[in-house]
Amino acid sequence: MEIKVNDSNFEKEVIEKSKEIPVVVDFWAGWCMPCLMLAPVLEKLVKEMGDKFVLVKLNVDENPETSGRFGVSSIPNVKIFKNGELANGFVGALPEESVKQWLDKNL
Amino acid sequence: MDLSAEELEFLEFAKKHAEENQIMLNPNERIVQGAIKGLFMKEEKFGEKYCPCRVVSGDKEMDKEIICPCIFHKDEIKEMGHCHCNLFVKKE
Repeated sequence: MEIKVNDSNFEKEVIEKSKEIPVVVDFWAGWCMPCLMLAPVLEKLVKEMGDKFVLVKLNVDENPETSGRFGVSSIPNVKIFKNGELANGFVGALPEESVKQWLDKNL
Repeated sequence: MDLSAEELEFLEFAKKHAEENQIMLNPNERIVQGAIKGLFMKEEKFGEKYCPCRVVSGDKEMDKEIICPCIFHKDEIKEMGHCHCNLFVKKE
């Protein structure tokens, strides 16, 4: 199930939520082809890794405030939030193995 | 994915740019068409063909850098083999 977040619910759905469980945010946009390549990889991994983290998506064209707040200038841009804070991130459509290693290291 | 007349015109421009700069369009047609549609969507929304994989800051002067072909693409192609949105790639 895909959770969409935006400028108005980001505080609750990501910052507050990450105090219970790590939240991975996929900053993306509609016609960004690398974003469309990365999305199924993230969705596969969140299923495989069960209850270790929550995956949410934020469309940067529709949510400039949050993108600006976290310095997102190019996409796809993936950031992980833990205990109410930004912990780490990566940019670009990495291959599945690299994304898995990044998750293993940061969860 | 069908391209409009305008989008086809930009495709020709991009091919010419690639030839003149010893790089290539991505051999994956779907990626090329998607990137071009993204450029036209950005133009419709923000007034210029900004890279579909970069965030428009709203600072017109700064955002000039990400109008396609952006100022970053040649270095990116050297380093990664493709530009950030995958429209242009290294010549084989």
